[in-house]
Amino acid sequence: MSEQATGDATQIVQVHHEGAIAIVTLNYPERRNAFSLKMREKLYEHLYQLMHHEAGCRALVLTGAGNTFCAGGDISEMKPRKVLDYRERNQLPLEIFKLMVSGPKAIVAAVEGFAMGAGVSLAAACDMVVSSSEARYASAFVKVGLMPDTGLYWSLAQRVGGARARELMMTAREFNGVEALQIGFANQVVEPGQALAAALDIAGKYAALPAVATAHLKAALATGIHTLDEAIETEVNLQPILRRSREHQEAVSAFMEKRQPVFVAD
Amino acid sequence: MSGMHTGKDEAPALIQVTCDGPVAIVTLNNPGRRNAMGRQMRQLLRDTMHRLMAGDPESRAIVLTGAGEHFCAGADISEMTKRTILQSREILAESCVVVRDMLAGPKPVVAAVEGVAFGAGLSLAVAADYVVAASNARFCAAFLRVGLIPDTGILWTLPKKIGMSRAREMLSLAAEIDGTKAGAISLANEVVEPGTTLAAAIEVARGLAEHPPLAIALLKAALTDGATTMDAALRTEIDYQPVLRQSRDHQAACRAFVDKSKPVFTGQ
Repeated sequence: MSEQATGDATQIVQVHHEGAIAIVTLNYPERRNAFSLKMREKLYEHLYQLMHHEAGCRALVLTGAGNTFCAGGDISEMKPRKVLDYRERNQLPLEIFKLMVSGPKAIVAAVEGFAMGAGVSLAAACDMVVSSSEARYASAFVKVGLMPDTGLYWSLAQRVGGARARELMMTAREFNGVEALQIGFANQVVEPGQALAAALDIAGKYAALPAVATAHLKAALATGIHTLDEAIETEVNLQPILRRSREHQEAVSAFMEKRQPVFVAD
Repeated sequence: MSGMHTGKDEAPALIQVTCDGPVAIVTLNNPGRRNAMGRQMRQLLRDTMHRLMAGDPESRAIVLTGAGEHFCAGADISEMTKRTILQSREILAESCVVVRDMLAGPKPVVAAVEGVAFGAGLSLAVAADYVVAASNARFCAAFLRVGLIPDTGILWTLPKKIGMSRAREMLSLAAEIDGTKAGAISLANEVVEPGTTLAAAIEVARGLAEHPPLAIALLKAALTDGATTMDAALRTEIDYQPVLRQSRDHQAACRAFVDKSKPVFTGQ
């Protein structure tokens, strides 16, 4: 792994580059990578930079340090605050969520150990979830008197369907990696310790696909598909523009010439 | 089976229609190119599907299949030349008409998938009410591989069918899955031995053709446009069900239940 970290090991969110893939690591192992305010700020900064300003990065992997993904909100920070202050604090996780769901690049979660509360939300916001068979998930929010946040209220039903999402959010029960695959929360389940390698493999496939089309697809999936007519309108609006893109023209030429395409985004 | 061709001139029709009792079988027919859909085939399919849905009282269910060993390889890449944006918009809107007819039209559609169902071929299969797949059929949302977003309605139809998580995976990774996997993720309703999909699809279509046509028509409309939110779903029940209660077919079904006889449905 050629590590070109943007910070040292003390950084609460680390970024390593491996070719066209950026590995974003939640790094607060003494609290199982709890989603503290500081972590939110750094995660947002890095994701924004990687999604919008680093052309060399074509896909992302989100993972956690110390063999665990993220234990959820930092309960030590959950002090009494005014409602308006809480509204402001909840804004940043939503910006992170939107960057992940509708940002231009694919992002793959590599989950080992715990993904609780906001940890589940972060995994659910990824395009694909690779899970250790022994990973432990729970939408734990109601146990601490809160409703699910960081987008989970929307993303969980998208992943596992309405009935199962209702069950998991209301009971806050735990489920492991094997069940996560079975109910559709995870896309792939692997042996413990293998999640990052498997996620890198998938991210490599994303990185090889046309970037402009990927960006438009993510935007469309995030916004344009509540009704059949919206889906049709979305494709009529976006597809003709993609047909003029260099990547598409290159793919057609490569197909006709029976060679591998070389994609350059425009 | 009585043959009926919709094409012109001497060339074999790109879309063929045959009938098997109440089942109309629509065949994509360009086997030399794995039934790739050029513009001409799209227009013929659109016109054929619309005529069968709206103007063919003989048929009560439709089977969609491909000639030869494949369902459909998707759009004809050799035609993907430098069209203007406005020309592309027209063509896309045109190919979405068939999806709307398949989903919200009054008759059930069963897809019989052998071989490849790639790109727009996958979209057509997914737009069917019921998919019968050969165990070795090959499904792929190949759009992204050629720098395009998935089209022909699949941005809506695939998440509806298999859930958003799997749909996002299939659409964004553009990886291939086989018929067995398609069955496991509910993309295919039924997985059968290679070479037997058409027979299986016709059997399913015959079963669907026995249902009251008006109830099937309103159910398809409700599933396509009437259940986008919980309130819309409840509203649809209130709007549609009283109409169906007044139908002769519902009353015939009630009488037949009491008489322990088999009802005859007329669509009224």
